[in-house]
Order: sequence, then structure tokens, then C-alpha cells
Amino acid sequence: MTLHHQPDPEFVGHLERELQSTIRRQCQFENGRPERMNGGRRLRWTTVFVALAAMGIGSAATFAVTQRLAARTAHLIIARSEAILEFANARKEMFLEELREREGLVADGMLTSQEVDAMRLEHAQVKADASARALDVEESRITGRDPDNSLSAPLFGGRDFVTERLELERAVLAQRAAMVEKLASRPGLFQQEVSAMAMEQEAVRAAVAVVDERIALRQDYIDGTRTARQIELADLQFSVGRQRETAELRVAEVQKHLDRMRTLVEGGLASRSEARQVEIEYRAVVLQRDLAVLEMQILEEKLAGP
Amino acid sequence: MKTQQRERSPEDLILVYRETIEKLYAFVSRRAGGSRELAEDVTQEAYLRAMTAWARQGLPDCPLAWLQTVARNLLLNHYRRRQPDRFDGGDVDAALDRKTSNGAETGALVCWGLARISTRHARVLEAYYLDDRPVRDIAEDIGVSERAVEGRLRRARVALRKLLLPHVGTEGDMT
Repeated sequence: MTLHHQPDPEFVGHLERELQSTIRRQCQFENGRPERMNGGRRLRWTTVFVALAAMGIGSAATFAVTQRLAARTAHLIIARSEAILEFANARKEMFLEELREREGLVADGMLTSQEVDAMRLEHAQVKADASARALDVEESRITGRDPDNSLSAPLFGGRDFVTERLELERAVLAQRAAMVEKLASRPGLFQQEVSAMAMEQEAVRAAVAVVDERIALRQDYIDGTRTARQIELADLQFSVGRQRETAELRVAEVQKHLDRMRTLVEGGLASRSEARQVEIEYRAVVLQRDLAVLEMQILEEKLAGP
Repeated sequence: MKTQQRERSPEDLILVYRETIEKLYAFVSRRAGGSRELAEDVTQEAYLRAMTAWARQGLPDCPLAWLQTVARNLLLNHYRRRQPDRFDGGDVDAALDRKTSNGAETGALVCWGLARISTRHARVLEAYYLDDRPVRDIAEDIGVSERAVEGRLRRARVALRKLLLPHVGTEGDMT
């Protein structure tokens, strides 16, 4: 390097004055503020302890009920659902605390925003999971049985728990779609990144379509326009069809990647072993696609049979 | 980076600033591709963030390392947002040749690549080109042979060229 990397004295002086002014403002602010609790780590450990304690209490309760009230399975099931809910809630709190800490690090510049995006999404997933487990507890309290998540499950206490759980799932997918959209619109993406984003967007769209279709099927069942067997078969057919479409899109994407890699190998810009890895990936996605086609054919045969 | 809660006064913070400004500026400037404006912006932003964070958490064990991490992330963000328009029609190999290139050209190129290639490749490029460290020192630091470092450097350069290929003129410009 031939450059001189010395700061301009004027810049150094200016920055020092600016920092002094920042520090003064902070001191004034702190004087009027109560002392901050050293909360982060302590709260996290407390949450872990609560989660473990909840699990322990839940398990102990479950064991006691099993011994004493063998005939009353309902109590056991409810106790188990409650213990699972406690654990899901504790996990949610832990994630939230961790997320806040990471967001603080983003503000400080120790992490980039992209590094926290995955955690935000995970937190949304954990939050939705806790809400779904709360629905399980409510359903078990009404029925005394394990939650029934099939599309042909009846309403319990006038509530459609199946649709409520599907809507939670859809909300998380919508959040995921928004995040992928945001990442895909970043400037300066390379062709490979653009392809990966396009595949991810397609995967999320496919997942949303499956959930929407299941909500519609469930509605048909509740309205009485289709029988339980009809909607279960339609559900299976739709999800197998979606698997096949996704597999075909993936084959097309990996094919493009493979062609690009071969060009790079010819130009001496990539090694043969790198190209070999992509070839192996290509073979794997082709096999997945063929498997999805077979699944579809088997299902069609079953539907056409007596 | 581990941060210890340490008593600090406004004077301490200014002392830390005076002790670290030249080293931090040099660290940033080597990575700023010859842009004094970028180097000053990043240095200033790193200190402003430090003042906010340190007021909350106390001084870290090694303030310079803390500042360098923040500055590095700020630079990575800057280069991630930026298109590689400066390198249009340029020869990457020539720019990466320590004997013939000028520092600004190499700095911009390497920094742009650092934001986009694997950490393993980025670290070795950073040490060799930006911190001007000889292969022998890098090899000692990461506990491999000099030959292995040279291999990594070669692969990192190939990775950088591959990255720039779709963005820099025609394929002919790159070879």
C-alpha cells in the first residue's frame, strides 16, 4: 500500500469536540434517569429456569396423575398440553430477550441488520408456536382429548381450532414472504443471490398456497359442501401437486447454475470439483422431482380405483 | 466481543479516543479504497456508536478491537450496498498485484470482495493486502504452512474474480 493513512488534524479536532458534546448530553440524560437494571443475561437465565421448572412441574404433575388417576386420561392430556404451553411461552420469552439484545448490537454496529433478520423470523415462528400451543390447551380443556388437527375435525365449543391454527401458520409465512421480499430488493445482488432469492420466494409462495388451500377446504367441510373423505383426499392431492411443482422449479434453477458452472470451468474460473458438487446437487433435485411425480401417479391411481 | 462493566468518566472516554484515533483511522483508511471522505465518515460513526454503547455497558477490555469490529461492519455494509462500478473494464489480477497496483485500487477491490466472499477467503486477503502482512506471519497466526496460505490467497483471488465476472465488462477484461 502506498497511501498515507494518517487522519487530518482538523478532522481529529472536530471529532473530539463532537464526542465531548455527545458525552455531555449523555451525562445530562443519565442524571435524570433511574439506573438501568443489568437485566439481559439475568432475565435470560431466569427464563431458562422458569422453562425448566415448568417442564419439571408439568412432568411431575403428569406422573402423579398417571399413578393416581389412571382412568382419568383427560387430566393427563390437559396437564401435558399445559406443560408444553409453558415451555413454548418460556422459549418465546428467551427468544425475545435474545432478539432485543441482538437488535441493540445492530444499533451499536456490532452486527449487521441482515445478521438479525433470521432471528426475527425465528422469533415470529416461536411466537406463533406458543399461540398454537395455547389453542391446543383450550381445545384439550373442552374435549379432554389430544388436539385434533385434521381438516375434518369437528368444531369444539363453537370454535374452529383447526382454522385458527392454520391462520397462525399463514401469518408467519406472510412475515417470511415480506422478509424474503426485502432481502431480494437489496441493491447489488449477484446472479446467484438473485436465483437463490427467487427460489426462496417461490418456496414461500408455494407454502402460502398450501395453507390457503387447506383453509378453503376446511371451510368447505364446515359449510357441509364436501364430506370428510373428499376434503382429506383433496388436501393430499394438492400438497403432492405442490411438492411436484416446487421440485420442477428447483430442477430448472439448479440446471441454470450447472450450465453457468460449466462455463466457468471452461474459462478456468472454477475447479472441476466445484462443478462436480453442482452436478451432484442437480442429480439429487432430479431424483426428488421424479419421486414427486411417482407420488402423484400413485395418488391418482388410488383416486381412480374402486 | 466480550465487554466488561468498567467505571468510566467522560475524561476516560476522551482519553480512549486520543489513544485510538490514529490506529482506527489507519485501519479504516486502508479499507476505504483511497476515499478520505469514506474513511472519515466510518471513523466518526464508529466513535459515535462507541460513545452510546460504552455509556450503557461500560468500557470494553480492548476499545480499539471494539472500534475496529464496528468500523469493519460499517465498511462491509457500505460495500454491500455499492455496485462495483469502479472496476469496470479493470484488470483484477493487475489490481491485486502488490508490486504494480496502487493502494487505493487494491483497497477498494479487496474491500468490495470482503463484503461478498467467504470469511475464510476474506480474512486472508485482508491480512495480505490491507494489513500488509507477509505470508510467513499470516501462516503463523492461523497455524498453517506458508504454502497453504499461498494456496488460500490464490483461491481467494479466484473467488474474487468469479464474483466480479458478471459485473466487470466482458470476460476478456478479466483474464
